[in-house]
Order: sequence, then structure tokens, then C-alpha cells
Amino acid sequence: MKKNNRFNSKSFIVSIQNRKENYNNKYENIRNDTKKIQNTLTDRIEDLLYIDYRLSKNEDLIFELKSIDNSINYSSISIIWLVQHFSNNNLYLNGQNEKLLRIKIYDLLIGNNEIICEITNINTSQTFRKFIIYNVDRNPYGGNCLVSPNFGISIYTNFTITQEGWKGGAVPLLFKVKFKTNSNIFLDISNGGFFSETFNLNKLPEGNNKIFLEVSDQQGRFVLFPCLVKVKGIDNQQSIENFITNIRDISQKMVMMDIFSHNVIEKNYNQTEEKKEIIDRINILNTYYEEISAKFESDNFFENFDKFVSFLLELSNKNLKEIKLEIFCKTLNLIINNIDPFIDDLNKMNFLYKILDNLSENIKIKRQEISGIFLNSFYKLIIILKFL
Amino acid sequence: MKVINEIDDLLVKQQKILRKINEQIFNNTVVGQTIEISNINFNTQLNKISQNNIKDLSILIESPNDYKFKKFKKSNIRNIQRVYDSDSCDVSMTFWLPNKIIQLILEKENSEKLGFNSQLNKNKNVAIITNQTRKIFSENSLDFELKVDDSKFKRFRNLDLKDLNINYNIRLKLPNLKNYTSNIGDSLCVQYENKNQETPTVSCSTWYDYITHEVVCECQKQGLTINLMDSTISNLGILKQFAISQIDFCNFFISNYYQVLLIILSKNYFNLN
Repeated sequence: MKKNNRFNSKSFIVSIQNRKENYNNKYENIRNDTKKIQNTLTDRIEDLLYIDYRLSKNEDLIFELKSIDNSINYSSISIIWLVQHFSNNNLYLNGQNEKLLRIKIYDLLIGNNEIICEITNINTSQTFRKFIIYNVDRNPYGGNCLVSPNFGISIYTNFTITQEGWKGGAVPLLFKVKFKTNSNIFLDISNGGFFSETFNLNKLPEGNNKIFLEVSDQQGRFVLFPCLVKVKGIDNQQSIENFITNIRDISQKMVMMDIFSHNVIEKNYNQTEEKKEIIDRINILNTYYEEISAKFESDNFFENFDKFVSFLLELSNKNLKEIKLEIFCKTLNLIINNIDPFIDDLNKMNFLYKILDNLSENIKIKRQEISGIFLNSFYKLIIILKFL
Repeated sequence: MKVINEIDDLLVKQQKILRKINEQIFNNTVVGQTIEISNINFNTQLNKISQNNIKDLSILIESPNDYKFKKFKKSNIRNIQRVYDSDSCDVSMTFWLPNKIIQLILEKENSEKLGFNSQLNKNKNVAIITNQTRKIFSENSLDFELKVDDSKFKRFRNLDLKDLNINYNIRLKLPNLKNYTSNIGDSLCVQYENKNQETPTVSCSTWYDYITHEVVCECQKQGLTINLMDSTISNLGILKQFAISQIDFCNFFISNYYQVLLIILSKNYFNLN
């Protein structure tokens, strides 16, 4: 008996072979008859298929029609994906007829969602449905954030942040203390976050109610909750060099630089001093990148990755006149050699695109300047030649 | 000179990073999906087309507002757009490959999926070697690559197009012609296939469309396609495009819609006589 493993024909071939013994004293196999026997159990294509799902790196939800048997021929079936509440076809990001379905998780309803896959066997034109129920939890909710003392001095007062009563579907919940900078970026000042009830820190920037608690669950859903606290700056603040020389950890240094610059702006320094401050800051950045290149491989650095990206963005926003081109080349080299953490997440990639876009804009300006210089010298040469 | 070298170095590095990001997003793209990323200076488009869903491939010069797209809901990644379907070819497109050709490729290559990776540079900042005699002429340039899914090795591989004669039609923006009318015949569409981007290949025919203010490159290969101003390479291109044995004036057809400028031809013809 010989079994054909191909499922696309929805049958397997059974050949019955008789042995004719008394023929020249030799055994000879003769194919006597071939019958197609309809298989009723394992050959049913619907029994072999099931739906699997996964979350992609950029938070898309991917459903996939899979088979227990790898030899199944997908070209013999047609697929239509359906999500009951989807009124717009555009919500199916890669259409409804592919083996994989890609949708945005926030397009689903909170609670149970039924994802249906309607499969038609092209050979027999039989249609059947497979479905899966995907449960969407809501963002973390129901908690609070308390800071004690609720009044203090930046850098010098030890604050205790207490979180209480937070609930969410995908536990454990991760808490981060963030402060909102003047450019509306939320910077993490809690060293990557904490799972405990309380967290102590002194690195709060000057200002009223600028501190937020970010609560995120394991599936990446998060909320930002404001923490009420008043922080005052010191009148005789040290210069930025003195301020950060004693801090050796690069990520800590970056946090402190941000807080310092934030405090400086809060104090409404007059324009000349502010300009001086910016020049200082660029000088520090220039030396800072040299430090980074030496320490880039250390694991510590990547803990505060978001800050590095925001620094790069700030750097790329500036005119190339202000920053040495070498520094830019060095930085880009660092990115090329260590690109993986940048491109594991769509959000970070977007930052990288912005950095490259800013860079391109800067190069354009620089090129125009250079061509301007060349043209000027060329015209001068012509004038001189004329007089000769 | 030191500054120019540094800038060239920056461009090469920028290009490397862009390639790496595109590769990463491409790997994360599901079949049937098209992702378009728009920036001021460059647009990226990544497609994975399957036999279930064969559609035209097209890249716009700029992203117009009326085009069908949906923005990501997160505000911080707003400039990444997703294109769902393209209606038809029109003059605002810089590249167009009809679905019939895509079907032909898939059949010839015996594959179910086609991957397309493109980078439209909207300015002259492209990582190629230029000098006093060789300059970038077109305002923009297109880097594109087609790949087919190899089910045996479960990866996308480059096309083997020896038997297929496909002409990729690429339209690039011309600069302000007032400054260039005298020597526009010295410009030529070239392609850089290798990633070092040192030597261009003359694999395109060059035409000029004065109505849409574009240069039309009809190319047989893939890679970075760019319009250069270089008299030496241009002469090579002219000889290739208008081979003396093939010149037959009676067969020339000038469309009502696209008045093709025959500067190159006339120049070549009068030079020869």
C-alpha cells in the first residue's frame, strides 16, 4: 500500500498490488487496480488549519493562518479575514486576503474581539470559518502618585515618590518618573523605572507640577499621571562643568545636564548669559561624544537610550557651523556600528529618520555656503585677470 | 577641500544608516502591506506584494494631500504614512510598474511574493563622487530594488532578470532650465548598482519632458538612478541610445502629450555629419 502525502487533491491514492507467483518462477508485481478513497478524517483541510497571533515590534497585532501539516498548499484556498466591528477596509493594514492579517491593536474594542477567517477551498468551493477571540485589556488605571515632601529644592532635597492602587491586565506594571522639558519631551529620571511601591530621588528639576508618573504594562500600554510637587532652584547655581565633573556615570551625567539646562531656562537668564550657556553646552557635547565613543559598548549606556536619542536630535537640529563635522561623523559611526538598539522599535527608528533628515538639511545649507565661497573667489579671480 | 571631504563622508554614512533602517522595516513588513515614510529630504517606500494581491507599484514625487493614506495614531510617529492603494499612473509619480509586469516577474521567477524597497532623495545630497566635470543635475534621485521571496531558503533574494526585458520608467525633477538650456544635452540618466557608488553604468535612455519639467529615464537595471551632468559619459550614452545602425527618422513618434525634446538626437546627428 502506498500513501500519497499531497493534501491538495483532498485524497490519497491507494494502489492494491497482487503478486502473481507462478510466472517463470519469479515474483512480479502487477498494479491491479487504483482506487481513490475519500479520506474522512485527516484530509479535511479545515481540521488542519488554526489561527495563531503575535505582537510585532511596532505594536501591530498579526494573526496568521497556520497548518498542522507543512505540506498544505495555500494556493488551493482563498482567505477572507473579518473583524466584526471594522467598518473601514483600511483598518486591515495588509488587506483581507493574505495568509497573515495585520491590524493595529488600538483599533480593537476593549474586551473580547472575534477575529474570523473565512476559508474557501477553491477545488471544492466549500467554505468554512475559523475564529479566534482576542481579549484587549485597558490601559493601567485606578492609581495615584504621591510625592513627599511636596515642596523642596532641586538636587538637594530627597523626594520619595509613592505609587498606589494601579491596576492593569498585563502585570507586573513598570513605573517611571518623568519630567516634562521645555521642548515637551518626557525624560526618564528614574534610571529605567521601578516595580516597587516607592522610589527615592533628588534629581527633580525646578518648576511646579512638572513631574509625571508613567505606568506601563507588559504589552506596552501606558498612562502618564501627574504628580503634585513644587521644586525650587538654588540662587547661586554652580557652572555646568563643576556641576557634572564628579558624576562618572554617563547616563547620570546626561540626566543632570538636562536638569541643569532646564533650571537655567526656568530662571529666565538674560539673553547674553543664555547664549554663553549654549556655547558651553556645545563644547561639553563635543567632549561628551569623545567619552561616549570610549564607553559606548558598556551595558550601562543603553539603559538610558531615549536620552541619547534626544541628544542626537538636539545636535542634528543645530547648524553645522556650531558643531564640528568630525563629531557628527563620529556619532554616525557609532550609530552604524551599534544600530540594532535603534532599529528594534518603530518609535526609535522615527527619531533616527528625523536625525537624518535634519542632517540632510544641514548638509544642504553647508554645501550652498561652500559653493558661495567658491563663486566669490572665482569672480574675484576674473576681476583680477581683467585688470592684468 | 577638507570640509568637502567631511561632507561626502557624512553623506555616505547617512546613506548606510538609511539602508539599514529600511532593511529592518522591510523585514518587519507583512505581505500585502505598503509602508511609506515621508520626510522633507527623502521618502522611503517599502512593499511586499503577493500573488493574491497584485497591484501597481508607484512612487510619488511628493505626497499630495488628496492621496489615500492613514496616519499612525501616535503623534510622535506622524510622518510615517501607510499607503493602501494607488489608483493609476499620473504625472505626479516618479516611478510606476504596472501589475501586469509584476505578475510576469512572479511567474518567471516562480515565486509568490515580491519585495520592493525604494528611497527617493528629494535633494542633491546623494553619496556619489562628483567633481568639476561631473555634477548632479536632477533635483531628485531614486534608489530602488526589487526582490523575490525564495520559498526554499525563506528569504528575499535579488531578481534574475536575464530573460525579462523590463524598462523601468523613472521621472526625475529638472532644475530651473533657464540656467541650463545651453548644455542640457550633456546630461544623462545613469545608475549606480554597486553599493560603493563609484562608477555609474550607462543603462538608461534619457528623454526630457518640458511640459512636466522632468527628465524621463528608461532603465533596464535597478539601483540608484540619477541624472548627471557629465559630457564624457553623456557621449557614451548618446551612442548607446541612438546607435547609428538603428536610427530611422521615419519611425520617430512624437506624442501630443509628451513633447519629447530631441536635443540629444539633433546634437548627435549634426556632430556625426
